[in-house]
Amino acid sequence: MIQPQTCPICRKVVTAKANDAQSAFPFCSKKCRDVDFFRWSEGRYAIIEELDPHMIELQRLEQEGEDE
Amino acid sequence: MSEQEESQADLEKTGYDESNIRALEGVEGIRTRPAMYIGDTTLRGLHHLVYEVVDNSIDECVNKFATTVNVKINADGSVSCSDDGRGIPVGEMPEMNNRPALEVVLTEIHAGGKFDRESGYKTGTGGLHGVGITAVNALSEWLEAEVRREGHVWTLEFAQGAIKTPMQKLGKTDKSGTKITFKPDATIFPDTKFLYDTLTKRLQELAFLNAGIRIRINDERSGQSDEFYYEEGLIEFVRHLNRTESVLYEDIIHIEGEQEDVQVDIAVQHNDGSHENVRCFANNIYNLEGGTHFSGFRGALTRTVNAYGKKANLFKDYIPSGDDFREGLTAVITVRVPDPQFEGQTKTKLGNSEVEGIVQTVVNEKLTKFFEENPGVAKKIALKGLLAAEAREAAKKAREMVRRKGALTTGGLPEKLRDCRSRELDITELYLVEGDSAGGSADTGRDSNIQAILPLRGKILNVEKAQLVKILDNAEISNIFKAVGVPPGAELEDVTKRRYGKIILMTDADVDGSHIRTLLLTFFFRHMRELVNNGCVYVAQPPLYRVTQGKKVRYVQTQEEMMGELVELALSGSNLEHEDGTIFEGEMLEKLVKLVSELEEPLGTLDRRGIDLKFLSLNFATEDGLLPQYRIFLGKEQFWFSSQEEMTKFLKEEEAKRGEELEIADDNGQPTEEPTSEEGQEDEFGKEGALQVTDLHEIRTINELLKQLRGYGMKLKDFYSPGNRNGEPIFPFNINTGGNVVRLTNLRNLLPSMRAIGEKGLKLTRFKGLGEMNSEELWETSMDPAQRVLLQVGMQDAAAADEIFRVLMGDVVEPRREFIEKHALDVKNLDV
Repeated sequence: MIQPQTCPICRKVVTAKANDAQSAFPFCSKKCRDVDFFRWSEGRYAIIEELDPHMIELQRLEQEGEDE
Repeated sequence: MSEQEESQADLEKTGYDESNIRALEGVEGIRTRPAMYIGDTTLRGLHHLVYEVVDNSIDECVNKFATTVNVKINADGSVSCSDDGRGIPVGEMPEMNNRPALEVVLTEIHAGGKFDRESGYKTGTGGLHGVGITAVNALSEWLEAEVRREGHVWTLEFAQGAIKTPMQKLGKTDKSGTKITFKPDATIFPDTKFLYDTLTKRLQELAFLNAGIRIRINDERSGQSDEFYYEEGLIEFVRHLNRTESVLYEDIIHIEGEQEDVQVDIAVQHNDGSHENVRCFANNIYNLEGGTHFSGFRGALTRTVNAYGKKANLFKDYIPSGDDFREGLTAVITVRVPDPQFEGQTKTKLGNSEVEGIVQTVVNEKLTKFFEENPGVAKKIALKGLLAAEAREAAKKAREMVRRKGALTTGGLPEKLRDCRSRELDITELYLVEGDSAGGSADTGRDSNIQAILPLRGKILNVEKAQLVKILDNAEISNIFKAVGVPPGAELEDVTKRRYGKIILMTDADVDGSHIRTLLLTFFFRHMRELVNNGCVYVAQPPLYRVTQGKKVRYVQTQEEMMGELVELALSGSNLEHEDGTIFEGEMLEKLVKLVSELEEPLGTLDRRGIDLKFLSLNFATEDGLLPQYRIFLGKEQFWFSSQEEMTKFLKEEEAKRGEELEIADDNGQPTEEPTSEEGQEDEFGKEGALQVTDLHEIRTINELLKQLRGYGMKLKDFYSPGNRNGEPIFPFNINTGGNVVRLTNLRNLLPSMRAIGEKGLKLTRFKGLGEMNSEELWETSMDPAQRVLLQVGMQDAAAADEIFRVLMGDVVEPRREFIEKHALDVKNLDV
């Protein structure tokens, strides 16, 4: 299976196995898992979508057009 | 002569006076209470004897009188320690009854050269108390001193601290140095066997602490030997301590300074672990409990990193504390203090209060300078501290959750949860629905016996102009745990206690929806992995279109599917007529439509660049009717080329003409616009002679397709409007459907027109989100177990989501951009 090779938090190579229910997988340690969980519960994770600069320009022009 | 002096003289004749008594008292005192002098009589105390002797030799080295120290464990269990220093003085000391200095040093407490700064020792050393070698002598079965000095070899032998053979001159030598051989007294030490590894460890440490000193050890009993010599001293010590760790940065930080006769020498390097490994030494003595030099270092490290972190604006969410900067910290802190004071349980804690301020000042100054010169390293240390602070906060929060018993799982379901009646895992389902309004429709439409609904709120923030940021409202994570009923990091047995059989993610069919789904899947993968592992997690597939034909209603899932269907409908029963008389129908028309549709995207890109196809085609098309791929702006003038060779040739000629290299225009990452002569634009694009080269990749695709289109008699000019004739637009193409005719000015209108034709008689509704569906529709398409299509999420899908998420949330900017270009489609069709 596809397996992230590095810990999402500290980027250390993860040796823990997915099929070991006890392991901190996909994290390197329980500590990093806690940090990740903490970030989720604080709502700090986001997906960032880069917008096409042309679209932004268009939107801006449209906005100005509407304002006038 | 006074009476007193007379009696003194008498006593001297008898050879028995107070100096003898004092010497005896000294040696006897040590033998009666050895622990007072060497700590204890265990193996630790035993090895300490060697260190005391070695320390003297090291001091000679530190003060540049010696270069090498040799330690030998002899076959009989004794130890010899020798150096190439000046040799302990052998002259008679009038104030000590003319006893030779060598004898005094070995028998008198508080006798030794280190008390006299004039003797050449600049700073105090470990064995400063003057007890060391006398104690060794007192606690040895026998001790033999051999001094090379002043052209001769001198020897002196003791047994249990008392002179056995007085000092003798043995013979000539041109060398100098001291050699002490001793065998510990078995009546004092329960175990007198020296351990090679124990001695080696300390000797190596001493070699690290005293750069440039060569220390050899040799065990006659086993034949083992080692030699230690470290040119870089502490730096190599830290490298040695970190040898099994992966380090946070390569270069070891070295801090040196001196103030008020206190020398400070420190080496620091962080590794990516969480353990702290700091070794403190004062005058070569290991300070197990630290002391004032340690606290001074700690204070300065915290202050300096904090100052950097604030300046670099890294500590927005948390401000790390001192402890946070010590995770993964490896350091060796050494000070040389004229008069060290030791305290604490093991008498190894440095107590000199002035040292704290001195170390702090030196570290503050040198570390700040280092950070200014190495901002990359500073940032890594600061971020590591930040992560540690976050981990602390996370652990605290986890404890609080445990205290508020089961805050995450039992005890109160989320308010927003619409629970179902059944409690049978085989049939129950929890729908996690994007958006409150969709949650409402789902609530009305569901089978409330077996289906529960938890609406989730995603937020879309337009944080920066160029970015959309999508997050999950922070309360939702705990709501998910509460509703599902398993704790974070759930294990197999928790999974069997979950409150519903299936957990179904239902998000909008658009890109935003797929992003929210990626977030959720990533979260499940990371923190509810066993649920995924056991196949409990599913993805619902709500449709994007509703198609009504008469009374029949259908649903279509994706934009591509819908467009394809419409064109297909139009294809049956239509033909395309060109003004030259050619008629395309059936299979021919289908193939033509396909080629034209493939051209849509690259032509759109060209439009977005602001390049007019007609302009380009009329002015710069090649002879065989293709487009040039490379564009050059030289100032305001534009030139087009079909190959790189042509372009290079042109540039060379141009440079030759001007007699200088061309200046490259600022590339601010924006696609090039047509040059304009408006004011304000002048500087950016109109700079005289500035060169701007663009490789238009889409033209490669366009040209490929144009070549294929030749087979249908279609050319570039068929993709833009030919203009007007007699004031009327020209329509070179007709689409005939039954009796109806749709006129086209060019082929770019073909697809929209075909779709419009296909749409005749149909009613299309595009759902902007789940919320636009009414409850019956939602039930029919996505919730009715008899009709819906659910996709089961496997570990592989969830891991892929994690991968995508990592890229989309993007800590690493460059790989992210590349990934999005490559996988943009995968993101959209995560569940297909």
